[in-house]
Amino acid sequence: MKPGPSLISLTQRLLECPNIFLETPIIKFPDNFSKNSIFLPAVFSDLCFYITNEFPNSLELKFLDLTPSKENINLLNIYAITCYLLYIPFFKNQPQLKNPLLNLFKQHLVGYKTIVSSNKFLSDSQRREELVRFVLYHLGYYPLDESEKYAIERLTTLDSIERVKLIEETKKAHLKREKEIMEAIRKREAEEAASRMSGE
Amino acid sequence: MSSTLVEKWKTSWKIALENWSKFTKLREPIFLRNAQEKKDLGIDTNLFAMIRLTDHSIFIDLEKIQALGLENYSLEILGHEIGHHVAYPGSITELGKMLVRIQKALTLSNLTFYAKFVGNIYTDLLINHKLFLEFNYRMHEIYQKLQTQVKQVDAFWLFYMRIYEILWALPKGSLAREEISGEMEADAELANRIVRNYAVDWLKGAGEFAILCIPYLMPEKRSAIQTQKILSSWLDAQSVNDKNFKEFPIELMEIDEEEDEILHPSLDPMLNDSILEDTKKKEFSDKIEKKSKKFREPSRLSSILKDIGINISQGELVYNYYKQRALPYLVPFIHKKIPNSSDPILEGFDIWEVSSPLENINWFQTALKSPIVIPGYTTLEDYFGTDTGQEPKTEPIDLDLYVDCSGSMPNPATEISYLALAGTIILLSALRAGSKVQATLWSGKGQFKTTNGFIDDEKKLMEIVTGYIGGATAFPLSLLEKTYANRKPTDKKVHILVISDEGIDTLHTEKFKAKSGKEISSMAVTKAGGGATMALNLYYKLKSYPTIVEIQKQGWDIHVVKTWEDLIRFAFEFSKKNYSQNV
Repeated sequence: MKPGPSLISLTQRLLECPNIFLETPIIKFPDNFSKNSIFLPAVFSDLCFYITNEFPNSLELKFLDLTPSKENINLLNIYAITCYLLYIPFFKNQPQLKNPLLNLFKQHLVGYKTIVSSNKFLSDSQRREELVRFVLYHLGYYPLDESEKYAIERLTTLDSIERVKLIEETKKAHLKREKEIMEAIRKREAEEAASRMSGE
Repeated sequence: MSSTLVEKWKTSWKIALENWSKFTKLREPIFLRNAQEKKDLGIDTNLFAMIRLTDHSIFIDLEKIQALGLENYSLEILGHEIGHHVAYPGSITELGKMLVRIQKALTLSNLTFYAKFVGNIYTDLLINHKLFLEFNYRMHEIYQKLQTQVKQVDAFWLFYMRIYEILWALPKGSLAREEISGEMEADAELANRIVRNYAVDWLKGAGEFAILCIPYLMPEKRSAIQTQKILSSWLDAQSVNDKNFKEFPIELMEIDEEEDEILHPSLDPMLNDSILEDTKKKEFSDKIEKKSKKFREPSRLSSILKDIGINISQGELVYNYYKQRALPYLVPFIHKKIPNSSDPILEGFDIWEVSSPLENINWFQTALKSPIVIPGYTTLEDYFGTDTGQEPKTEPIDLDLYVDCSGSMPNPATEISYLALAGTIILLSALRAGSKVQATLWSGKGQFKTTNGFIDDEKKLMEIVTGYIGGATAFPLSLLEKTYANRKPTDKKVHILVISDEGIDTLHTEKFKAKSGKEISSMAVTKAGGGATMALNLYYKLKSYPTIVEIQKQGWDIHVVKTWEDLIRFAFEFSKKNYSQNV
């Protein structure tokens, strides 16, 4: 991995993200075009050209063709925010990023579809940091002025996808513990009742 | 100890205070230089910094701070203490409310004795996060220094330190120096979310944080012994830290709506980023909004007050508890219309002085006296005397109150007694109306407590009504006989009120000396002259109790309540009818 832009510059960029990126993006043009939303295939194509000097072909845009649902709209918003995030001079004219970029959108960001609400990536400081680190990591970078080891470790800490799994585990452990305690209480009560009965 | 150090800390104090807010009003801390100074001020703690929530005094033990090598962290330590004053917990009431939530969370696991410790850790997290994030204070360095006191740390410490590492994006191992298990990592992550999401509505997060602490407080995880050792000199906000404080925090009587909604943070939709949780979040907040007002039992309140270090006597607590709960049901104070009892009558003229209102001058009489007006010499004003008014002056009827306190009744000091509460509502309303009250608490034969006469001393009356006997059941006929046997028709009228259950039949079935209960009861109703009422909790219809029907025939007005809670409505209506105006 190589040093990329600074963390603060990218989280700040997310903070300044225009609200239009949180409106439901349009993926079919021009039937339902509205001035209050963005046409995501065009935005993504522009980004690809900006970074790789190549426009994506229709097959490469297939991943955007999603049936409308709450989760899919959330994912499209995450795509839109990420497009906005990466449109900075640092990434301009880097053809070697073509595959990592397509993989980022097609494979990695999908993991957030149901786990993180897109607006959290703008409103919550840790989620902002997570998205920046996540995107940099999958493009082969780590934030400027950080060590690679620290960058990976911090991303692991913030990783929502991983966290959901861990929290699921802790939830199970908690419910198990609660059940054991309740069983112990019931057992103790039953024993006390039995000893009272025998005493009488 | 050098005076420069004290001066340096004094300068830091001003900066720390201004960092929190320019409008924060706190007097300068008391800097303790040696053991003698601590002794002189009656401070016997091991803490190097402490805030007394009663008067918001801050004490800084500079000797101890130097011993721990923390003398260069004046901003951090002072900022932390201010944080306890300004925000977390900020007041005694909030401290109490937080401890209630934490205790609830720890109850099932029998760990409630850790509530104060967990509460202190929780408020520390909230404060330190703000200090680190907003003011760039070096809070992490303090913990690095503190943990050098021990060779080995426990699971609680690792969990606690891992929360800071996540919150402050510190490299793994900078504070939590041992391996972190997956479960602990998830718990620390959830704690991090509580601190960040509930920073404003922080009381809501207290119970959830406590649940996360449970696994690390268990004996098999060394019960946080090492953590308590490391932090022994900085667990600064566990109680009010003032032995002499005895005020009654009224707000703690009420049970907050969210108190019962303590979830494991993994189940809290508010801590989840998932879009699927949005609906749950709405349901969750709707659920909270629908709950009605509830009050905690006196015994529970007593234990909370003890926990936060308020040493209030049981008598004071019970008095305050029932009085506060009765207040919403009391009749309003009567606005006396004085002119009704005395009419003004013009008796002549007097010199108008310059200090009197100008409109009081009677210009006609002044001109008659002298054509030259000299204020204070020739100026005249009307002079009025008084005459007996047309409307007779009203006199409130006194109240003779008998509250049943046999074994079947609850002890007002431990659980809510609606008999005591109804009695309190009625007697306080009677006092507001200007009546005098004789209050009697009765149980078995010869077992009763009474004010022994009609008085208007609120505290003494409530002491009787909220007291407890808990014996057999026998109405105090001797007292009824004594109160009314020698009463003359010209004496002030009295309304007799009895609050009881079916045990009231002893009014007729028992005897006093040669007289039967029936005779005494009939005599009392007649001689009282102001009426006689009974509020009885009866399971069946009134006609199923022949003795009580007989009592009713003597002129007692019987009100049947189905549950003890219904006594509140009875007390409110009785007070309104009898004491909302002078009768």
